Amino acid sequence: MQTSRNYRPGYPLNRLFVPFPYVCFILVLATDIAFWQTANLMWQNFSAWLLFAGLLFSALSILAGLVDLIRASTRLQRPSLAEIIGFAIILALALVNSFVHAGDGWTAVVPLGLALSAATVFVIFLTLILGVRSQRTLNWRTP
Amino acid sequence: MTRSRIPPFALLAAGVSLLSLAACNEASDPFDTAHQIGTDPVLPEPSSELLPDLKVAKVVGWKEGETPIVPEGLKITAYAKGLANPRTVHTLPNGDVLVVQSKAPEGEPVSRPKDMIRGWIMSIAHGGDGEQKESNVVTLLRDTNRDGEVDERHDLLTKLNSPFGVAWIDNTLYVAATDAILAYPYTLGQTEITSEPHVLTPLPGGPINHHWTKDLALSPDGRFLYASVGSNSNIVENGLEAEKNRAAIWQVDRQTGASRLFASGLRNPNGLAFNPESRELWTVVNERDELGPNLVPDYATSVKDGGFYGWPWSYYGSHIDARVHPPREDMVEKATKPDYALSSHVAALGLGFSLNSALPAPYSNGAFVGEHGSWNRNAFNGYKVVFIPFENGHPSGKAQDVVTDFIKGDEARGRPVGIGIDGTGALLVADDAGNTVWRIGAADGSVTPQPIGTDQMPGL
Repeated sequence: MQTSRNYRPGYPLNRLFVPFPYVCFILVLATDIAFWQTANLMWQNFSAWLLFAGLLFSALSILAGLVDLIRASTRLQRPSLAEIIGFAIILALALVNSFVHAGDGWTAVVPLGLALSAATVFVIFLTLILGVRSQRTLNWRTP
Repeated sequence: MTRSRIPPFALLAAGVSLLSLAACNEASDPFDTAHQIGTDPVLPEPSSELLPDLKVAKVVGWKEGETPIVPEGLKITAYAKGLANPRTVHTLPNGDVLVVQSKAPEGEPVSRPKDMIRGWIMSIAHGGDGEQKESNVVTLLRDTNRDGEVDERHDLLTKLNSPFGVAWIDNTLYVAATDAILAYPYTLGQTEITSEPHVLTPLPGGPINHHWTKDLALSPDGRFLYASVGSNSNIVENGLEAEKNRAAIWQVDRQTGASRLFASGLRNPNGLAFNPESRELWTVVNERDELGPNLVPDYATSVKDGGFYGWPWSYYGSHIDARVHPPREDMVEKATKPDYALSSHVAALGLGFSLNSALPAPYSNGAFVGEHGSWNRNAFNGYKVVFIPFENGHPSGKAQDVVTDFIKGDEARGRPVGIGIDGTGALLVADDAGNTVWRIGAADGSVTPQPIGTDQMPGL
């Protein structure tokens, strides 16, 4: 990477928070499947809280990302446009999914909630692959 | 680790999708609620909006001199003001009126993020601003000279656990707190109660105690008490175990306290009253939410011994609710269709029969229903008292508005709950949000020759 001698890369703050929604939303698919198979309401409640937590940390990620925008030291580590769009789609799907999960009873999960959870996980993996494949990886730890 | 910087337009996209969802719900609603009043309501297909319809009326209270509006031939006055959430009114055989004031019990566990939001909406709709008077009190109102004005006021019982229903017979005052039926020794005329109660029978209480109001009625022969126990959820989202002995009306033996389920499948029954002609037990029931603004109609119905009325598996007879899993076809087949629909989300909580009152002709035989109103639609429904005419113990016509104007603009001045006939034969309406009991008498001032208690059945 073409870091100049006086460019000291900073740690992008958004990276502290971005993994939370990914982990939460992937677990939602697991708890939704558990509810679908067992009809045990505990799993439905898990899903609702995981969606809530994921969205909360998404909001923190956005705030952190805005702070990163004004930090020149993180300029080289910004995500690609594809990743940004992927994250936006994940967020939109999870938001709609949390409204679906806020319904009462079986139909709050089966079938629409379950389908949205699966779609969210699909877009998460797609976004992760795009992130890995983008050739802009910067080994920030070792200058 | 991915390296996504969270784009600001994600926030924007989320905001826009929220707004557009809300806009969908703002669409004009061509459905005429009158189609759902009567014995044969029109039931549309269920709809599940992402954001359920919502319109919360902020409680502003009544200013000096303001009253609800009543039709010609009737006259409305404030019977008692400055109360603390009056829910039910009950007339004793000597004409004294008991006003039960209560607040919802605290401590319902938060099981889902939605519960926090629900709690916040409830606090707006019940008017939580400013200093609150102590509630959970039973107050006695006495109109000594029978002129329709209260002359004496005494707090009979305080620090109760969210009481709602009361009944009196054989020098015993029964109070349905949210977790038990309590029996107090009480002679008519007493203005204080100092003795400790005994527990006649425990009722399903907390910690989950979703529909917490327990109403009471006395059987015409005086042997049994009937207690209403509402469901523990909208539609079993707390599990079927939490619904044991709930969504039901209990029959309780006064002598032994032994109880059995008299009728079930009634989501949130209140306003228990015996029809003076047929001597059948009647109740008003709050039906389920989140199937759309025009489902499911709340209803008034006679209650058959052993009757099952559908909740949770079906509504209004055999209309299946797909939210309940696993489905139970056997229960759907058993479900009885209720007698009289009041239209959706009116939140009927009070019921009282007018026979033997001093009210003028159009209101001389029928049922008054207190419609508390709710926030589950984008247009207000309820927030009024209606009258259903009866003949020979059965509804005989269209419900008509009697006490209206609780809503002004988008604000609620009050919300009607319990219905009663006072010791002079006038209608009483408990207004919990307005902290008032309203008296609606004949405009010509006519009164009954002597008081009739709420539990008394003249001619028996």
